[in-house]
Amino acid sequence: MSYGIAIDVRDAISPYLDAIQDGFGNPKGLHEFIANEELELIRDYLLTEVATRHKTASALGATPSGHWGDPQSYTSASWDDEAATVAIRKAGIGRAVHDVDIEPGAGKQWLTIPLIAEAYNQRACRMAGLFFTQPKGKGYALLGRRTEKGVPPTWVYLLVKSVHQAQDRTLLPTQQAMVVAADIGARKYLKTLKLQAAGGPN
Amino acid sequence: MIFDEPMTWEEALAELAAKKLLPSSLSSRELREEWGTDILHRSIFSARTTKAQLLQDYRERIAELLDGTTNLATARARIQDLLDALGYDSERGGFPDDTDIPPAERGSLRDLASNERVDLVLRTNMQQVGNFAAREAGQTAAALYAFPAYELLRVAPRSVPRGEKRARGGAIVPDAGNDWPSRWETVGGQFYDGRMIARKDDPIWERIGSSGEFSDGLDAPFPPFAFNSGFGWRSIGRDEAIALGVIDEDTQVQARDARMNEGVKAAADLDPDLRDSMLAGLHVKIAQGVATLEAAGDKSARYLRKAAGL
Repeated sequence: MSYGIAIDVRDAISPYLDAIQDGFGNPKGLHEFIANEELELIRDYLLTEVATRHKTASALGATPSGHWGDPQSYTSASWDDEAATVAIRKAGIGRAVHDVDIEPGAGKQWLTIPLIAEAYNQRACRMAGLFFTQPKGKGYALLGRRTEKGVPPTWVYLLVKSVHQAQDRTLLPTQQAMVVAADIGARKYLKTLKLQAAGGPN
Repeated sequence: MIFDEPMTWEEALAELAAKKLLPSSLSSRELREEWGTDILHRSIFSARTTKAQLLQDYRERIAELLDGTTNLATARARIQDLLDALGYDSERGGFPDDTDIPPAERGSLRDLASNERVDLVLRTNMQQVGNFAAREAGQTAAALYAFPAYELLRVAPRSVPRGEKRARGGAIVPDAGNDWPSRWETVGGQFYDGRMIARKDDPIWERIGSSGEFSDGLDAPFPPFAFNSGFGWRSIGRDEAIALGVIDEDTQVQARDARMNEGVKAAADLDPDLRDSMLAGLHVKIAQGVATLEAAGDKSARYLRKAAGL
């Protein structure tokens, strides 16, 4: 008698277990959940931790440029049988994984570094009344503005030949946070497999 | 099926490639009244911009921004260089051959070469394509299950945010009723712990950007919902949505379609002069009532085709 009950239970649960087992054989499905979880982790991090850094703008008292704002618009996820991938399509993100050397673009001699709020996020060539000076023997130059005779000029831009930016790992969440996100994604995947197997949402 | 194919980034870029260019001397409001919002979604346009060449350059810069190969300041500089080369002068009424463009104060939003204006066009078009792609990717069964809701919140700084305005003399003063929480309330949005959150399939996402409700609305069910808005989306995970009471444990959020370029036939109904200018400058082929951008040999089109894997 007890043997018969055991068979009944197994018959009822077999399709459920089969469905879950099928899900484990679908790495692409698992990777979709992991990719979505990683994507949202990175978006949240960029929005709350990176986009809120306004070191230069704050130092100058200028309005931030919002370079890292709206991460929904420049991040995406993809997945296949092999991997879950998050793409961050934003100039400057490479600094998260390596040092960056910035040099003037084609036809340009200098990089301009703003020294006052008015110059932040503006083009030097569009600002009126600037004069150029290069201290002897120095590798940099300055763009300044004279207001009155006898009054020292206001230095508007520092001009340099290149800028070296050291790697900044904090542009992305920690490795640990990304491992946790992958785990959460895998758990959600498992939950949907269970729901599907039980005839729930798919 | 639980694992639908999402829209890829390449497909989103293809959506950008399919955006038509709308050179026009009309203002933003006139453009909307004349052409309707449907066409504007599917077009790269900038009010009172009569030069298709300029819009084409915008398209190239937007593609680079979407691909992360340039930044806003560099893209803006290149647009401004082109405007200089084309002889644009806002205070003299635009381009040398313009006859019906009113003069605009240099540096103002109506000056096509001002930082604010160029940034507005670049940002708006870039964010529309980027958020459209993000929205589409968030419509798979897996994404709807794991992240069933969006929160509307500030995603980019603005010197004068909605809900405030610059008074005479330059002081920033309150602009009651124009802020996003007020708009949210106007269109029937619910607050959860004071936050503006709604399911992905909630019709509020069509209403919050409606120009019928708000004159600056962009009529898209994805951010940016209004001109020069710094508000956008954050995806809300399932556990958080349940904890806040946005959904129940067994809620299944449904997909909602918002494709930008499906069934675009009205493009062929453009003003004949405008259509001719597009045809002359951009190799637009119009057949069976549908306008197609060919642009063979064009750098941007090649780039986009390559990006789209075509």
